[in-house]
Amino acid sequence: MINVDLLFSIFSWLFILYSVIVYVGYLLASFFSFLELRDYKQNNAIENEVPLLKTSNLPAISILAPAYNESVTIIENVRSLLTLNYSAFEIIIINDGSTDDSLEKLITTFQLKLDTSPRYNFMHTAKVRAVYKSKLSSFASLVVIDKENGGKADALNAGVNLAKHHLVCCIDVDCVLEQDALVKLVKPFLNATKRKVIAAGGVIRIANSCVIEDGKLVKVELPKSFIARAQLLEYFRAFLMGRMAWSRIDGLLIISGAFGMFDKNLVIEAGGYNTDTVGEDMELLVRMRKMMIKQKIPYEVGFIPNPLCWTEVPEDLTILSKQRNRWARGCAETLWIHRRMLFNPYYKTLGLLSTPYWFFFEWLAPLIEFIGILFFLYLIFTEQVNWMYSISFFIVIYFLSVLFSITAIFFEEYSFQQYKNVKDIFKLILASFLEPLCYHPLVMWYSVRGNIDLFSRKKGWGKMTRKGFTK
Amino acid sequence: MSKVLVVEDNEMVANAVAFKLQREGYEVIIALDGREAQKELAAHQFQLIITDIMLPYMNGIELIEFVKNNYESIPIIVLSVANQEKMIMNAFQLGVKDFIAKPFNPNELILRVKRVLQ
Amino acid sequence: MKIVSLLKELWASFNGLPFFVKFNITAGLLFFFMIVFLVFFIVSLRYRKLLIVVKRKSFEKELANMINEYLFLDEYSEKQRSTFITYLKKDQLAREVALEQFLIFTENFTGEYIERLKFFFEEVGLANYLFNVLAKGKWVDQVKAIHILSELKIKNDELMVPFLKHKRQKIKEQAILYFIKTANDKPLEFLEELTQELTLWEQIHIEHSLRYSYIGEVPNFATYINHKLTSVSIFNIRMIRLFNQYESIEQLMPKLNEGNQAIKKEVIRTLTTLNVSNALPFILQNLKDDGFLVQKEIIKAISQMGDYQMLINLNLNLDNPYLELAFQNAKYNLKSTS
Repeated sequence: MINVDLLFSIFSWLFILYSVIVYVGYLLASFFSFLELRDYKQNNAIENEVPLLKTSNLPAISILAPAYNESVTIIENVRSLLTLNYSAFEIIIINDGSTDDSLEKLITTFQLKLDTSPRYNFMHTAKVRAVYKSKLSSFASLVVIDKENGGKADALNAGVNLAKHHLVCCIDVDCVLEQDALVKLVKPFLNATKRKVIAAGGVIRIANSCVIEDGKLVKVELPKSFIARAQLLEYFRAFLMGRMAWSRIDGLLIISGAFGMFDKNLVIEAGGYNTDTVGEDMELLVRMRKMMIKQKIPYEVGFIPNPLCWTEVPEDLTILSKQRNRWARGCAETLWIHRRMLFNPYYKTLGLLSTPYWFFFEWLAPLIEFIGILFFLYLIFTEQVNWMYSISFFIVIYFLSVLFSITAIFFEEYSFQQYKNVKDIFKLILASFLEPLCYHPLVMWYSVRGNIDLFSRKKGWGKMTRKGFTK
Repeated sequence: MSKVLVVEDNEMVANAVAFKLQREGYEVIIALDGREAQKELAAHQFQLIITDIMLPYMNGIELIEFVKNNYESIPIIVLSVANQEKMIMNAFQLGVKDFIAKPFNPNELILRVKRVLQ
Repeated sequence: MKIVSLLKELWASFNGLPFFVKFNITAGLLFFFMIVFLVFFIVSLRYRKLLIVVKRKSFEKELANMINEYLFLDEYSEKQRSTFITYLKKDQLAREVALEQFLIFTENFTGEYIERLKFFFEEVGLANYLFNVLAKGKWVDQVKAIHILSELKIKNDELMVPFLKHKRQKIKEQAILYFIKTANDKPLEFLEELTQELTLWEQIHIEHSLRYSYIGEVPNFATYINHKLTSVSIFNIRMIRLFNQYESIEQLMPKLNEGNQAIKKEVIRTLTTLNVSNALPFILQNLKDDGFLVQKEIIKAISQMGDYQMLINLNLNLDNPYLELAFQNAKYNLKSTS
């Protein structure tokens, strides 16, 4: 028999402590995010990008887009990439051993021919079968790598190996980029003074239900399905509140794999993307930051709040569950690889705030929640529930979650509001009230599953998962 | 009276060009993007098109191609920022009559319009 | 009375609750009220923004029309002018819209129209308005004011000079650009005074202002290549290349003995682009002592101005992968062209 009373009172105190921490964190996040957005807006009040487009002084960029069985959309996506506003860039499409006709399509459409110029493998990757370039001068900036399947991280490394330019921009090939995405994302690198800019990331937006033509975003629409709207709120919270605030206090740990720019030589020096984790985007940034701290070089990570990159989120629960499963594993793996940073004052903000945050709130929270629910079920089953307590706890959690979402909507409104219709705002508010009940339990369960998968297949950390390009 | 289609995404510039042309006795219709231009082309008979290159939805080059394929006889003048040489070359290859670089002098625009329409 | 007693009763029963429940209910209520407040706030913000959009549209239309009338009509009456002025005085938003429009017109027009715009801008009191902002406005507005004044080339150097040393980066940047855009000659004089390195961002905007706004003679960039700030020196070496100032090659050559690798690299790149092939022996002079970034640049110089044999004779120590790649590439290219 479990001593329910004792457990309950321990639980209650822990709960209060936890919610106080969460609440203080929420206030701080709102505060920092507000400051960051305000400063960004003020500093960019008259920014016109024309000088950037006309100069020959811009650092050139290599865009890296790994593709695995994207035959249906690849041509359109490449065409749209080719029209980005930027004066000097190359596009490297990495065909990661696709089993469809992606490569053939690319070869015929863009009239590719074999390129035999020397290559150097700064990082080891799965075998590169061939490199292609276009015969046509209008596609001179296009490079296609054909390699054996090795997963996303491996494909990106192959791209980094071949990249001609000093800056690499890693994107998901199915993302829709704004025309001026590169010009905006490169800004932190241009404004660098004494501190070296190692990477820059941006806000990821949700493209579901938006009108997209020829790989370009034509009209922004609020997603129609609830599941996409719930993810929209999640993204608002993560980007407009979370990452904005982390960026303010220089504690950003992740740049989305969907759209991020890096200093190529530093990526190579740090060893490139880690092929042993599914959280390669987070892991790389953490490793690069660690390297800079160890070398005692002042550095910074840029973050741009403008909507630059639009991506379709899964509306299908099976796909969503795979995605979240992968995120949970990626998070756990990264934390494990860099466990020495946790609570380590040597790494300052990263050690004392960022990694603990990821440990408690990104990794541990779903697990605790899950155990809490199991415990609650046990109490119901044994008829030991104190309903008054339970309901009051529930009310706090519920309103706090809603408050988070509503605040995130405020930041959307304050920053670069994309949904101009008042009706849309009400729809989002409604979704905020439903999300903690109808959506959150699902994603919590998916991340618990992710952790279970991780531990059950454990053969030494990392090696256990073959990652194709699960989306 | 000649009818002119002005395709320009900056409304203010479009209006100014239209204002000036109207003063010179032309009838002017404005389209703010390539698609609107297509609609106007279907609805009216134009004697001249003045178009920008950087346009939303359908850029100027695509529009020029479209005009050449469907309304071959209408002459085109490009009015655009001259920062993309490749595009300008492209436009000339497609057979545009003239290119005016922004920033431009409205009086000069009128002169060139008159020359093309002669 | 009834309500008061009801509240009292509620309070009493609330007090009677266990501590945790009391805590939870209080916190829950607090969050709930915050939610309600935020929802109202967001919705009112949205409505306000929508209203502004509508108002803005009508301002844009009317103001643009008035500016067009001034620019393109042969007869312009005193009455039209005074309507414009009263219109501007009516509303802060109207002034903002008008300022934007003047900017767009100046960006798109040349010739006598620019002069007319400028004259009109001063006549309707917008210039004075901006001077006031410069004297006592918020810093964000000051940045905008300097930008507009410099685009329209409305001079007031006295007012601008202090901004060159302003602690706000953005104000300083605009002030620098102002002096370039409005200069009649020597647009880069301010460089002498500079004490902080230029960012790439600033360099790009300086270049742009020199090319597209400044109307005087192109400055002799060689004057500043020995500047104490590395970024200034590099910027000017680069400008020699972009403006094809062949006459400065003689002054560039001594910079090949420069210890600063970044500067040396830039010099080699400029000599390469200007195709000064007789500089090659001097470029190769200290090859062994150069860092790999300079060595890489030298390889590029040879692949453009030299030949295959020259490259092979370099006898470089290729233990740096970046260098080796550059070397192999140069070899590949020279072989395929010869």
